[in-house]
Amino acid sequence: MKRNLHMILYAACLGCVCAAVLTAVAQLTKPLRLANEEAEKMSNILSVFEVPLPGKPTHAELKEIFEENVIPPKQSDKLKVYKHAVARVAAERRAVEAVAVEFSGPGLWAPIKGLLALDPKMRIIRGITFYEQKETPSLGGRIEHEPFRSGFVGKSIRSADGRPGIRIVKEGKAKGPNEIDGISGATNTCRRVEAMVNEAILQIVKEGAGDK
Amino acid sequence: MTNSTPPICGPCGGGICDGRGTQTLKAGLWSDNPISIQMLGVCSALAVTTHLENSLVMGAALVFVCAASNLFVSLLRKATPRGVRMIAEVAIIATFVIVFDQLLKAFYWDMSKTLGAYVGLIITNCIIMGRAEAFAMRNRPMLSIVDGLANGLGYAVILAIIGAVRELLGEGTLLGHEILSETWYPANELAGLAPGAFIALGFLIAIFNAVGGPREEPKP
Repeated sequence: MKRNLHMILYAACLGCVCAAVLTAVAQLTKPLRLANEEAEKMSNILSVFEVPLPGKPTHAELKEIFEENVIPPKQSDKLKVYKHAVARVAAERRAVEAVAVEFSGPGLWAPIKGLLALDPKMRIIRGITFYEQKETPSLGGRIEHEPFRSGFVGKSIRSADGRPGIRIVKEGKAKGPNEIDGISGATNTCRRVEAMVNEAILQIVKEGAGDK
Repeated sequence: MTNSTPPICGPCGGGICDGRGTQTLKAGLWSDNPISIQMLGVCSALAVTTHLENSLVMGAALVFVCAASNLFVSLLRKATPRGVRMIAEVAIIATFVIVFDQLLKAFYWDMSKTLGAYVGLIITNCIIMGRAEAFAMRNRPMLSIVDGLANGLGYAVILAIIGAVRELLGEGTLLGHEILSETWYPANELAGLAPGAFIALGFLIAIFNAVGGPREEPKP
Protein backbone atom coordinates (compact mmCIF):
# COMPACT_ATOMS: atom_id res chain seq x y z
CA MET A 1 0.00 0.00 0.00
CA LYS A 2 2.77 2.37 1.00
CA ARG A 3 4.73 1.43 -2.13
CA ASN A 4 1.73 2.14 -4.36
CA LEU A 5 1.22 5.48 -2.66
CA HIS A 6 4.85 6.32 -3.24
CA MET A 7 4.51 5.48 -6.95
CA ILE A 8 1.37 7.55 -7.37
CA LEU A 9 2.83 10.52 -5.54
CA TYR A 10 6.06 10.35 -7.54
CA ALA A 11 4.20 10.10 -10.85
CA ALA A 12 1.93 13.01 -9.90
CA CYS A 13 4.85 15.22 -8.87
CA LEU A 14 6.90 14.39 -11.97
CA GLY A 15 3.86 15.00 -14.16
CA CYS A 16 3.23 18.39 -12.59
CA VAL A 17 6.84 19.47 -12.91
CA CYS A 18 7.06 18.42 -16.57
CA ALA A 19 3.76 20.13 -17.34
CA ALA A 20 4.91 23.32 -15.63
CA VAL A 21 8.18 23.38 -17.57
CA LEU A 22 6.43 22.83 -20.89
CA THR A 23 3.76 25.44 -20.17
CA ALA A 24 6.43 27.97 -19.30
CA VAL A 25 8.43 27.30 -22.46
CA ALA A 26 5.29 27.36 -24.61
CA GLN A 27 4.20 30.70 -23.17
CA LEU A 28 7.65 32.23 -23.58
CA THR A 29 7.99 31.15 -27.20
CA LYS A 30 4.37 31.89 -28.14
CA PRO A 31 4.89 35.42 -29.56
CA LEU A 32 7.72 34.26 -31.78
CA ARG A 33 5.84 31.17 -32.93
CA LEU A 34 2.72 33.17 -33.76
CA ALA A 35 4.78 35.72 -35.66
CA ASN A 36 6.37 32.91 -37.66
CA GLU A 37 2.99 31.39 -38.46
CA GLU A 38 1.61 34.76 -39.53
CA ALA A 39 4.67 35.38 -41.71
CA GLU A 40 4.22 32.01 -43.33
CA LYS A 41 0.53 32.65 -44.01
CA MET A 42 1.30 36.02 -45.60
CA SER A 43 4.06 34.44 -47.63
CA ASN A 44 1.72 31.68 -48.81
CA ILE A 45 -0.97 34.15 -49.89
CA LEU A 46 1.59 36.27 -51.71
CA SER A 47 3.03 33.22 -53.44
CA VAL A 48 -0.36 31.97 -54.65
CA PHE A 49 -0.86 35.45 -56.15
CA GLU A 50 2.64 35.14 -57.66
CA VAL A 51 3.85 38.37 -56.05
CA PRO A 52 7.66 38.36 -56.20
CA LEU A 53 9.32 38.29 -52.78
CA PRO A 54 12.91 39.22 -51.84
CA GLY A 55 15.24 36.37 -50.85
CA LYS A 56 14.76 36.17 -47.11
CA PRO A 57 12.27 38.86 -46.13
CA THR A 58 12.06 40.04 -42.56
CA HIS A 59 8.70 40.01 -40.84
CA ALA A 60 8.36 43.78 -41.33
CA GLU A 61 9.24 43.61 -45.04
CA LEU A 62 6.76 40.80 -45.54
CA LYS A 63 4.00 42.72 -43.77
CA GLU A 64 4.66 45.77 -45.94
CA ILE A 65 4.50 43.80 -49.18
CA PHE A 66 1.38 42.04 -47.93
CA GLU A 67 -0.42 45.26 -47.08
CA GLU A 68 0.52 46.73 -50.44
CA ASN A 69 -0.76 43.79 -52.41
CA VAL A 70 -3.55 42.05 -50.57
CA ILE A 71 -6.89 43.06 -49.14
CA PRO A 72 -7.74 40.55 -46.43
CA PRO A 73 -11.36 39.55 -45.80
CA LYS A 74 -13.39 41.38 -43.20
CA GLN A 75 -14.47 39.59 -40.02
CA SER A 76 -18.09 39.97 -41.15
CA ASP A 77 -17.62 38.41 -44.60
CA LYS A 78 -19.33 35.06 -44.92
CA LEU A 79 -16.89 33.87 -47.53
CA LYS A 80 -13.30 34.62 -46.56
CA VAL A 81 -11.63 35.82 -49.70
CA TYR A 82 -8.21 37.42 -50.03
CA LYS A 83 -8.10 39.93 -52.85
CA HIS A 84 -4.96 40.60 -54.80
CA ALA A 85 -5.12 44.33 -55.43
CA VAL A 86 -2.02 46.43 -55.71
CA ALA A 87 -2.20 49.78 -53.92
CA ARG A 88 -0.78 52.35 -56.27
CA VAL A 89 -1.66 55.50 -54.43
CA ALA A 90 -3.27 55.41 -51.00
CA ALA A 91 -6.52 57.08 -52.01
CA GLU A 92 -6.94 55.36 -55.38
CA ARG A 93 -9.38 52.49 -55.66
CA ARG A 94 -7.57 49.22 -56.02
CA ALA A 95 -8.43 46.94 -58.92
CA VAL A 96 -8.79 43.32 -57.93
CA GLU A 97 -6.57 41.14 -60.08
CA ALA A 98 -7.17 37.76 -58.43
CA VAL A 99 -8.74 36.29 -55.34
CA ALA A 100 -7.74 33.48 -53.03
CA VAL A 101 -9.88 31.28 -50.88
CA GLU A 102 -8.65 29.12 -48.03
CA PHE A 103 -9.56 25.48 -47.91
CA SER A 104 -8.83 22.83 -45.34
CA GLY A 105 -9.80 19.31 -44.49
CA PRO A 106 -8.56 15.99 -43.17
CA GLY A 107 -5.68 14.49 -45.06
CA LEU A 108 -4.57 10.91 -44.76
CA TRP A 109 -2.39 11.54 -41.72
CA ALA A 110 -3.07 15.10 -40.61
CA PRO A 111 -5.10 18.16 -41.64
CA ILE A 112 -4.33 19.67 -45.02
CA LYS A 113 -4.60 23.43 -45.46
CA GLY A 114 -4.16 25.43 -48.60
CA LEU A 115 -5.18 28.35 -50.77
CA LEU A 116 -7.04 28.29 -54.07
CA ALA A 117 -6.37 31.26 -56.34
CA LEU A 118 -9.12 32.26 -58.77
CA ASP A 119 -9.84 34.99 -61.28
CA PRO A 120 -11.77 37.96 -59.83
CA LYS A 121 -15.07 36.52 -61.10
CA MET A 122 -14.26 33.24 -59.28
CA ARG A 123 -14.80 30.97 -62.24
CA ILE A 124 -11.35 29.85 -63.34
CA ILE A 125 -8.62 28.51 -61.07
CA ARG A 126 -5.38 30.46 -61.29
CA GLY A 127 -3.37 28.26 -58.96
CA ILE A 128 -3.26 26.27 -55.76
CA THR A 129 -0.83 26.05 -52.84
CA PHE A 130 -0.72 23.75 -49.86
CA TYR A 131 0.81 25.30 -46.79
CA GLU A 132 0.15 22.54 -44.33
CA GLN A 133 0.22 18.87 -45.06
CA LYS A 134 1.77 15.78 -43.55
CA GLU A 135 1.05 13.28 -46.28
CA THR A 136 3.42 10.48 -47.19
CA PRO A 137 6.53 12.10 -48.62
CA SER A 138 7.06 11.31 -52.33
CA LEU A 139 3.50 9.99 -52.58
CA GLY A 140 0.73 12.15 -51.11
CA GLY A 141 3.37 14.73 -50.30
CA ARG A 142 3.72 15.44 -53.98
CA ILE A 143 0.57 17.55 -53.88
CA GLU A 144 2.90 20.37 -52.88
CA HIS A 145 5.01 20.03 -56.00
CA GLU A 146 4.70 20.13 -59.74
CA PRO A 147 3.19 18.73 -61.85
CA PHE A 148 0.18 18.25 -59.56
CA ARG A 149 -0.17 21.93 -58.71
CA SER A 150 0.15 23.21 -62.27
CA GLY A 151 -2.63 20.80 -63.25
CA PHE A 152 -5.05 23.17 -61.52
CA VAL A 153 -4.09 26.24 -63.53
CA GLY A 154 -6.77 27.31 -66.00
CA LYS A 155 -9.31 24.74 -64.83
CA SER A 156 -12.90 25.74 -64.29
CA ILE A 157 -14.65 25.29 -60.96
CA ARG A 158 -17.61 23.85 -62.82
CA SER A 159 -17.89 20.78 -65.01
CA ALA A 160 -18.83 20.99 -68.70
CA ASP A 161 -22.52 20.76 -67.80
CA GLY A 162 -22.33 23.44 -65.15
CA ARG A 163 -22.13 21.41 -61.95
CA PRO A 164 -19.82 23.01 -59.37
CA GLY A 165 -16.77 21.09 -58.30
CA ILE A 166 -13.47 19.80 -59.61
CA ARG A 167 -12.57 16.18 -60.16
CA ILE A 168 -9.16 14.71 -59.56
CA VAL A 169 -8.89 11.80 -61.95
CA LYS A 170 -6.34 9.06 -62.61
CA GLU A 171 -2.95 10.43 -63.62
CA GLY A 172 -2.91 11.33 -67.29
CA LYS A 173 -6.63 10.99 -67.82
CA ALA A 174 -7.78 14.59 -67.24
CA LYS A 175 -10.01 15.66 -70.11
CA GLY A 176 -12.93 17.88 -69.03
CA PRO A 177 -12.67 21.56 -68.07
CA ASN A 178 -12.79 20.72 -64.38
CA GLU A 179 -10.72 17.54 -64.40
CA ILE A 180 -7.23 17.45 -62.93
CA ASP A 181 -4.54 14.76 -63.05
CA GLY A 182 -4.05 12.97 -59.77
CA ILE A 183 -0.93 11.28 -58.39
CA SER A 184 -0.63 7.56 -58.93
CA GLY A 185 -0.01 5.83 -55.62
CA ALA A 186 -1.67 8.66 -53.70
CA THR A 187 -5.35 7.96 -54.42
CA ASN A 188 -6.52 8.58 -50.88
CA THR A 189 -4.75 11.89 -50.55
CA CYS A 190 -6.08 13.04 -53.93
CA ARG A 191 -9.61 12.03 -52.99
CA ARG A 192 -9.41 14.05 -49.79
CA VAL A 193 -7.93 17.07 -51.54
CA GLU A 194 -10.75 16.91 -54.08
CA ALA A 195 -13.30 16.84 -51.26
CA MET A 196 -11.90 19.80 -49.40
CA VAL A 197 -11.41 21.96 -52.52
CA ASN A 198 -14.98 21.17 -53.58
CA GLU A 199 -16.21 22.18 -50.15
CA ALA A 200 -14.63 25.59 -50.71
CA ILE A 201 -16.04 25.75 -54.25
CA LEU A 202 -19.55 24.95 -53.01
CA GLN A 203 -19.21 27.76 -50.49
CA ILE A 204 -18.16 30.13 -53.28
CA VAL A 205 -21.14 29.13 -55.39
CA LYS A 206 -23.49 29.38 -52.42
CA GLU A 207 -22.39 32.95 -51.67
CA GLY A 208 -23.36 33.93 -55.18
CA ALA A 209 -19.87 34.31 -56.60
CA GLY A 210 -18.56 32.07 -59.38
CA ASP A 211 -21.70 32.32 -61.48
CA LYS A 212 -21.50 30.99 -64.99
CA MET B 1 41.81 0.07 -4.73
CA THR B 2 44.70 -0.58 -7.09
CA ASN B 3 47.94 1.28 -6.54
CA SER B 4 47.91 2.91 -10.02
CA THR B 5 46.54 6.46 -10.28
CA PRO B 6 43.19 6.67 -12.12
CA PRO B 7 43.41 8.33 -15.59
CA ILE B 8 42.40 11.99 -15.76
CA CYS B 9 38.74 12.25 -16.68
CA GLY B 10 38.28 14.69 -19.57
CA PRO B 11 35.28 16.92 -18.92
CA CYS B 12 34.86 16.13 -15.25
CA GLY B 13 38.28 16.68 -13.78
CA GLY B 14 40.51 14.05 -12.22
CA GLY B 15 38.94 11.40 -10.06
CA ILE B 16 35.32 12.68 -9.95
CA CYS B 17 34.02 10.03 -12.33
CA ASP B 18 36.53 7.51 -10.99
CA GLY B 19 38.48 8.16 -14.16
CA ARG B 20 35.77 6.62 -16.33
CA GLY B 21 34.85 9.91 -18.02
CA THR B 22 37.18 9.65 -21.01
CA GLN B 23 36.34 5.99 -21.36
CA THR B 24 32.63 6.85 -21.50
CA LEU B 25 33.27 9.67 -23.95
CA LYS B 26 35.30 7.48 -26.30
CA ALA B 27 32.72 4.69 -26.10
CA GLY B 28 29.82 6.90 -27.14
CA LEU B 29 31.73 8.53 -29.96
CA TRP B 30 33.62 5.58 -31.36
CA SER B 31 33.92 2.11 -29.91
CA ASP B 32 30.24 1.83 -28.97
CA ASN B 33 28.79 4.35 -31.43
CA PRO B 34 24.99 4.26 -31.16
CA ILE B 35 24.38 3.99 -34.89
CA SER B 36 27.30 2.14 -36.37
CA ILE B 37 27.95 -0.28 -33.52
CA GLN B 38 24.78 -0.43 -31.43
CA MET B 39 22.61 -0.01 -34.56
CA LEU B 40 20.04 2.19 -32.79
CA GLY B 41 18.23 5.29 -34.01
CA VAL B 42 18.80 4.38 -37.65
CA CYS B 43 15.33 5.46 -38.81
CA SER B 44 15.78 9.17 -38.24
CA ALA B 45 19.36 8.93 -39.44
CA LEU B 46 18.04 7.97 -42.85
CA ALA B 47 15.00 10.21 -42.97
CA VAL B 48 16.39 13.66 -42.23
CA THR B 49 19.85 13.43 -43.77
CA THR B 50 18.89 14.72 -47.21
CA HIS B 51 20.82 17.91 -46.46
CA LEU B 52 23.74 18.63 -44.18
CA GLU B 53 21.94 21.47 -42.38
CA ASN B 54 19.03 19.21 -41.41
CA SER B 55 21.46 16.59 -40.12
CA LEU B 56 23.29 19.12 -37.98
CA VAL B 57 20.10 20.41 -36.38
CA MET B 58 18.85 16.88 -35.75
CA GLY B 59 22.20 15.96 -34.26
CA ALA B 60 22.11 19.00 -32.00
CA ALA B 61 18.60 18.01 -30.90
CA LEU B 62 19.74 14.57 -29.92
CA VAL B 63 22.82 15.79 -28.06
CA PHE B 64 20.66 18.19 -26.07
CA VAL B 65 17.91 15.69 -25.27
CA CYS B 66 20.23 12.78 -24.52
CA ALA B 67 22.49 14.80 -22.20
CA ALA B 68 19.64 16.60 -20.43
CA SER B 69 17.46 13.54 -19.95
CA ASN B 70 20.44 11.47 -18.80
CA LEU B 71 21.21 14.15 -16.23
CA PHE B 72 17.72 14.27 -14.78
CA VAL B 73 17.13 10.53 -14.90
CA SER B 74 20.39 10.12 -13.02
CA LEU B 75 19.51 12.81 -10.46
CA LEU B 76 16.21 11.08 -9.77
CA ARG B 77 17.50 7.53 -9.95
CA LYS B 78 17.38 6.87 -6.23
CA ALA B 79 13.96 8.49 -5.78
CA THR B 80 12.25 6.74 -8.69
CA PRO B 81 10.16 3.74 -7.65
CA ARG B 82 10.91 0.66 -9.74
CA GLY B 83 7.32 0.33 -10.93
CA VAL B 84 7.28 3.70 -12.71
CA ARG B 85 10.91 3.68 -13.79
CA MET B 86 10.34 3.57 -17.56
CA ILE B 87 7.34 5.89 -17.48
CA ALA B 88 9.41 8.44 -15.62
CA GLU B 89 12.20 8.12 -18.20
CA VAL B 90 9.80 8.68 -21.08
CA ALA B 91 8.22 11.67 -19.32
CA ILE B 92 11.60 13.31 -18.82
CA ILE B 93 12.73 12.58 -22.38
CA ALA B 94 9.43 13.83 -23.82
CA THR B 95 9.67 17.08 -21.86
CA PHE B 96 13.08 17.90 -23.30
CA VAL B 97 12.08 16.94 -26.82
CA ILE B 98 9.05 19.21 -26.70
CA VAL B 99 11.14 22.04 -25.26
CA PHE B 100 13.52 21.69 -28.21
CA ASP B 101 10.60 21.54 -30.63
CA GLN B 102 9.10 24.75 -29.23
CA LEU B 103 12.45 26.53 -29.41
CA LEU B 104 12.90 25.37 -32.98
CA LYS B 105 9.45 26.67 -33.94
CA ALA B 106 10.26 30.01 -32.37
CA PHE B 107 13.80 30.55 -33.62
CA TYR B 108 14.28 28.34 -36.68
CA TRP B 109 10.85 28.02 -38.24
CA ASP B 110 11.95 26.78 -41.68
CA MET B 111 13.95 23.95 -40.19
CA SER B 112 11.03 23.02 -37.95
CA LYS B 113 8.88 22.58 -41.04
CA THR B 114 11.59 20.63 -42.86
CA LEU B 115 12.22 18.20 -40.00
CA GLY B 116 8.50 17.98 -39.35
CA ALA B 117 7.47 14.97 -37.33
CA TYR B 118 11.00 13.72 -36.82
CA VAL B 119 11.70 16.16 -34.01
CA GLY B 120 8.79 14.76 -32.04
CA LEU B 121 9.87 11.24 -32.91
CA ILE B 122 13.11 11.77 -30.98
CA ILE B 123 11.01 10.74 -27.97
CA THR B 124 10.83 7.25 -29.44
CA ASN B 125 14.50 7.15 -30.40
CA CYS B 126 16.01 3.98 -28.96
CA ILE B 127 19.33 5.66 -28.25
CA ILE B 128 17.95 8.05 -25.66
CA MET B 129 15.71 5.55 -23.91
CA GLY B 130 18.51 3.01 -24.08
CA ARG B 131 21.04 5.30 -22.42
CA ALA B 132 18.55 6.40 -19.78
CA GLU B 133 17.74 2.83 -18.82
CA ALA B 134 21.16 1.24 -19.25
CA PHE B 135 23.38 4.02 -17.97
CA ALA B 136 21.72 6.99 -16.30
CA MET B 137 19.66 4.81 -13.98
CA ARG B 138 22.77 3.37 -12.39
CA ASN B 139 25.45 6.03 -12.67
CA ARG B 140 26.21 9.37 -11.15
CA PRO B 141 24.86 12.57 -12.78
CA MET B 142 28.20 13.93 -14.01
CA LEU B 143 29.11 10.68 -15.72
CA SER B 144 25.60 10.40 -17.10
CA ILE B 145 25.91 13.80 -18.75
CA VAL B 146 29.16 12.66 -20.36
CA ASP B 147 27.47 9.51 -21.61
CA GLY B 148 24.53 11.51 -22.97
CA LEU B 149 26.84 13.96 -24.72
CA ALA B 150 29.02 11.18 -26.08
CA ASN B 151 26.16 9.13 -27.53
CA GLY B 152 24.47 12.23 -28.86
CA LEU B 153 27.70 13.35 -30.52
CA GLY B 154 28.30 9.85 -31.88
CA TYR B 155 24.87 10.00 -33.49
CA ALA B 156 25.43 13.57 -34.69
CA VAL B 157 28.76 12.75 -36.34
CA ILE B 158 27.26 9.84 -38.29
CA LEU B 159 24.32 12.01 -39.33
CA ALA B 160 26.60 14.82 -40.42
CA ILE B 161 28.71 12.49 -42.57
CA ILE B 162 25.67 10.92 -44.22
CA GLY B 163 24.04 14.32 -44.67
CA ALA B 164 27.16 15.75 -46.27
CA VAL B 165 27.53 12.79 -48.64
CA ARG B 166 23.86 12.79 -49.61
CA GLU B 167 23.72 16.53 -50.21
CA LEU B 168 26.98 16.56 -52.13
CA LEU B 169 26.11 13.61 -54.35
CA GLY B 170 22.42 14.36 -54.58
CA GLU B 171 22.57 18.08 -55.31
CA GLY B 172 26.19 19.08 -55.60
CA THR B 173 25.92 21.50 -52.69
CA LEU B 174 27.01 21.62 -49.06
CA LEU B 175 25.01 23.75 -46.66
CA GLY B 176 23.43 25.32 -49.73
CA HIS B 177 26.72 26.40 -51.28
CA GLU B 178 27.43 24.91 -54.67
CA ILE B 179 30.47 22.64 -54.63
CA LEU B 180 29.98 20.40 -57.66
CA SER B 181 28.91 22.62 -60.50
CA GLU B 182 25.74 21.73 -62.38
CA THR B 183 27.57 22.17 -65.65
CA TRP B 184 29.59 18.97 -65.35
CA TYR B 185 28.12 17.04 -62.42
CA PRO B 186 24.76 15.34 -63.08
CA ALA B 187 22.94 15.20 -59.76
CA ASN B 188 22.50 11.67 -58.41
CA GLU B 189 18.86 11.54 -57.40
CA LEU B 190 19.28 8.20 -55.67
CA ALA B 191 21.40 9.86 -53.01
CA GLY B 192 18.44 12.03 -52.05
CA LEU B 193 16.06 9.11 -51.70
CA ALA B 194 15.78 6.42 -49.04
CA PRO B 195 17.78 3.70 -50.87
CA GLY B 196 20.67 6.11 -51.27
CA ALA B 197 20.61 6.75 -47.54
CA PHE B 198 20.69 3.03 -46.81
CA ILE B 199 23.64 2.52 -49.11
CA ALA B 200 25.56 5.43 -47.61
CA LEU B 201 24.85 4.19 -44.10
CA GLY B 202 25.91 0.67 -45.01
CA PHE B 203 29.26 1.87 -46.30
CA LEU B 204 29.76 4.04 -43.23
CA ILE B 205 29.04 1.20 -40.81
CA ALA B 206 31.42 -1.05 -42.72
CA ILE B 207 34.18 1.57 -42.53
CA PHE B 208 33.58 2.22 -38.84
CA ASN B 209 33.73 -1.45 -38.01
CA ALA B 210 36.78 -2.08 -40.17
CA VAL B 211 38.77 0.83 -38.74
CA GLY B 212 37.53 0.71 -35.15
CA GLY B 213 37.41 -3.01 -34.84
CA PRO B 214 34.23 -4.89 -33.99
CA ARG B 215 32.90 -4.77 -30.44
CA GLU B 216 34.09 -7.74 -28.41
CA GLU B 217 31.34 -10.33 -28.56
CA PRO B 218 31.46 -12.83 -25.67
CA LYS B 219 32.45 -16.24 -27.02
CA PRO B 220 29.56 -18.76 -26.73
